[in-house]
Amino acid sequence: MQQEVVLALLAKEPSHGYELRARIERGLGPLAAGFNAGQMYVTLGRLEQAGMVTSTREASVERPERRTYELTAAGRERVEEWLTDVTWPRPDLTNFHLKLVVAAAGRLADPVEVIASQRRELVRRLREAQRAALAEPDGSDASLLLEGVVLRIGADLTWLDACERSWGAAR
Amino acid sequence: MSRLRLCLRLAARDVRRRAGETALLFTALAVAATTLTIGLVLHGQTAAPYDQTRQRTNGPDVVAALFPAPNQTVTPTDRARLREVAAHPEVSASSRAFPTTWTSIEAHGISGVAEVQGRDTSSSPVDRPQVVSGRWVGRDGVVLERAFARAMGVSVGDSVQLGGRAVPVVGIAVSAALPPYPQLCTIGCILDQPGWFSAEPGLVWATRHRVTGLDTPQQPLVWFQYLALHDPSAAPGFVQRYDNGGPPAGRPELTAWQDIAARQAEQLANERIAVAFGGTLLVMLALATLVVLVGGRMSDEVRRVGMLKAAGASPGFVTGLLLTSYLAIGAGAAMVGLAVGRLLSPLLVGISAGLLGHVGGTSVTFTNAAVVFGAVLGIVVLAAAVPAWRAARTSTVRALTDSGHRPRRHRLLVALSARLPGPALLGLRLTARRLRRAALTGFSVAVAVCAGTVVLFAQSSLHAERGNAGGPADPQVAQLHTVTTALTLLLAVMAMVNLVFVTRSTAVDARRVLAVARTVGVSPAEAAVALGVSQLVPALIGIAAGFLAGAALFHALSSSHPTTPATAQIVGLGLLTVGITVALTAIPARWEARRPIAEILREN
Amino acid sequence: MTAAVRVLALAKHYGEDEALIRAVDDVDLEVPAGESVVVVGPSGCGKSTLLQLMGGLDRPTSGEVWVEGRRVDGASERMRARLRRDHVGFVFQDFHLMDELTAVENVELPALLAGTPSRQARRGAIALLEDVGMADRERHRPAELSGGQKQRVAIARALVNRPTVLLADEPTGNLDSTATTGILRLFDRLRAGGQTLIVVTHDQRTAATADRMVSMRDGALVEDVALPSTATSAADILSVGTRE
Repeated sequence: MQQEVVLALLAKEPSHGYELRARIERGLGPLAAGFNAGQMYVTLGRLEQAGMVTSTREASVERPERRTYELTAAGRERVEEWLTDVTWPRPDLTNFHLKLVVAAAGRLADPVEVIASQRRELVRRLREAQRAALAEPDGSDASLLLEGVVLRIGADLTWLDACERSWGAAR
Repeated sequence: MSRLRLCLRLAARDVRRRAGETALLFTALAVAATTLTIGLVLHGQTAAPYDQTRQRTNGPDVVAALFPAPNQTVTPTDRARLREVAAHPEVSASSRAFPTTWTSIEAHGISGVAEVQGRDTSSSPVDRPQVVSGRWVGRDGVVLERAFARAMGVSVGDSVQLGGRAVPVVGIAVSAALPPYPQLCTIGCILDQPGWFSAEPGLVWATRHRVTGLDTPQQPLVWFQYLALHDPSAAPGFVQRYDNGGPPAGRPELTAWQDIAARQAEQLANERIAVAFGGTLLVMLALATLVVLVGGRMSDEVRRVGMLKAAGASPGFVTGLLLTSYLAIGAGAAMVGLAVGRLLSPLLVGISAGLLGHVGGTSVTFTNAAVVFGAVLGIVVLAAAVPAWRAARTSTVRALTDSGHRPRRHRLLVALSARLPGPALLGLRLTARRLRRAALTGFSVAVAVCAGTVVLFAQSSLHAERGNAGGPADPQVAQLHTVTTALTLLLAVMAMVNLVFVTRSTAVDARRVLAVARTVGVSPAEAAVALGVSQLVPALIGIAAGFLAGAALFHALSSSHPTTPATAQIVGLGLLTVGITVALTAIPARWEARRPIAEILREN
Repeated sequence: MTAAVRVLALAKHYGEDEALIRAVDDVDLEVPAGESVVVVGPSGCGKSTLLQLMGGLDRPTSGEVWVEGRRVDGASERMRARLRRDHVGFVFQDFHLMDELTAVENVELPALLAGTPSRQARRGAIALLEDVGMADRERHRPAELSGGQKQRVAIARALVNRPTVLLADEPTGNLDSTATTGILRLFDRLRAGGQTLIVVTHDQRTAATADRMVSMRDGALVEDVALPSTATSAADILSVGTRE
């Protein structure tokens, strides 16, 4: 989970640690199974060091969930920046391509075979994701996310088809 | 220049691609042009041919006929009375008194009765018969009145048996002094011979000598004299005043020219009604066909224009292209129409044989030709202009995706058909998809059957009239028969054109629907039956309507008592129509239904 | 147990000599009842042709086609029509619905054509529309429906005579991602109910949901694999940790 998500959760008003945790768990819904509260407090600590968040202790209790966290002006700025940010993870196909190149050059393996095995794995993953998607209720967040996963694996598979055509013809 | 060549090439390519449709369009336009031509030529026949005839032949205002008392001959006293009438102050001029009698006439195996009038010369102060072929009686020949000559099938140079003696026919003439053949006896006849009671004589002129030679006690001479009045419009009054003076025996009988004119008009009117009605039907049918044909092409044209525009053609080029193809078709059709119309017109003016209408016969004047061309080209330009205008108005994109006429939904028919077995269900729904086309089918069939029924009625009436075997043809019925046959031919052509087109487009339209139906289990035979049903339903309605309309029409047109044709004939006509419809539909349907479904769906 | 569909040495050729195209080239395939098979391959590999041959929509050049233990390839058009009426349902990529009929009228049409009384056919059609989730649109005409909705109506129509086998040719070809999901859910339910499904597709997602995947290339079968059943949950796949 990104730092900025936690920052944004504090944008409306300051809140206690346990409140923050509850909000996150609610928002994730069924995906909350993988959520680790400890990591959240570590993140909050880092944010405090970076000057984006301030925290105040409650009386004499020294437990992170009882602390009150609040955004600073810098923190607010950061949230606004983040909301309009359009960075997107880049697809990274170069490694696989290099694998094929060195396999062919060194006669270590048949590139077409390599592609075929990769394909089978991706198909397996696609199948998993699609089945999981169909198991979720229509229109739920989970099904939407899984649709995204499915589509991206599908795109990769299409690219692998193109690779196969290209490498197969080069033989 | 290269643009013009491109334009011509595209137009030619397009015509070749849609050859069938273009041929149908051409035929429809040609038939419309033919009808228009005939109508114009007939209209060009003087509206009042009797008046013209009267003028040209110096027709009489009053016809005086002196009949003897029964079983007696005309006395000198009687003839004196005739001279008195001729000397009346209201009379401005008079002809000589012509001896007239009735005798048998035979020619080409047809025997009839002739009213023979003795006139050595055709010139006279009143009534100068116009010789239209040959010459006047001369030494010993006879001249026949034109309508009678037509009915007897006699022409100049023939020899006829007049009163048992062979005489040459030296001429044919027209006169306004008599009622139209065969209504001569409305002025008065003496027909005492056995078998002549219901005869309808025609007029023959011969020498005085010959006529006086035909004088017999049974067939005494009657004297005709033709009078002109100072005031022709006063003729009926003159006649009435004279008639009030006592018993007719021994006194001349007078007839005013207005009576004769009325009878001529009546006869002409009947013929005109027939032609007018037939012509209107034809034009209606042609227009309906044109609407469907042109309308059917409309979306195609719009798309074509869209494609041209997308390829960069200017609006001017596009308009030019459309006009080129359509104008070529239109001009060709107009010419064919004029030619055919000219050929057919003489057939339809026979009954005015007794009158002088056109000096030059039935020719197509320059004005007529111009009107026909104008009308046809007008229609054609409209057909071209609408898609051009629409395409110019809408964006190229919309023109390209114009999917044309969508099938409409008719809830009642859909609900009704749900209760029928498979093929009938499909057939009815197919009809419902394109109701306008179904209406056109029904209409075409109705028109064709109507015309066929009228012909059948005319045929049977003609046969009934010819009760006395070998008599001359009753011109009116014969004329009606000719008119209806000619129009029926044209109507049949039009109806066939319609039927072929509608059947073809229905089959094409139904192709996809039937293919889909076959994917859910409809067999080829059932599909063919469905298509047949979709055509037969409107056709059957059309047949029924056609019969009723035809019978009503004949009753309205015919002045004589119409005879109903034999049931077998009517049934035969109905079956023939059904047979043609089924053949036109079922054959392509059966063939289509055998094609693999995948092929059909791929095409669409 | 007789297979629902079986083809032996099936071939479909077009043209001659140099122009000879082997659309389907010596294919053997057997599909037991209740199985869901997906046929994949690049475009032009002959999968649609194979499906059409199985459904009797086209005649093979050689080979045998058996549906429910009855031989189909040499049968008359009439017999094949009967087969399509009672045993095989076909779904097209282009839907092929009749524009002037409403959704429910489109669906009940095969039942009416098979001789079912109109009231019964109507009831069956409405039930099927509910099954495919189109109950609220039964009075709409195809022009008023989206691609996904039309495809669902087409599927309902193919099922109205309770066919043993449902053949679908690119059922999601014209649909967007969301509509595709809807169709896939529908197929899932049908499969759970024991319907035999043979689906031709080039869509990865549709292919991933079947029990068995058959690949074709240049008219021939090149691969025939059973796809393993999986039991992964959404959470496993979407690992939501607190890492960056």
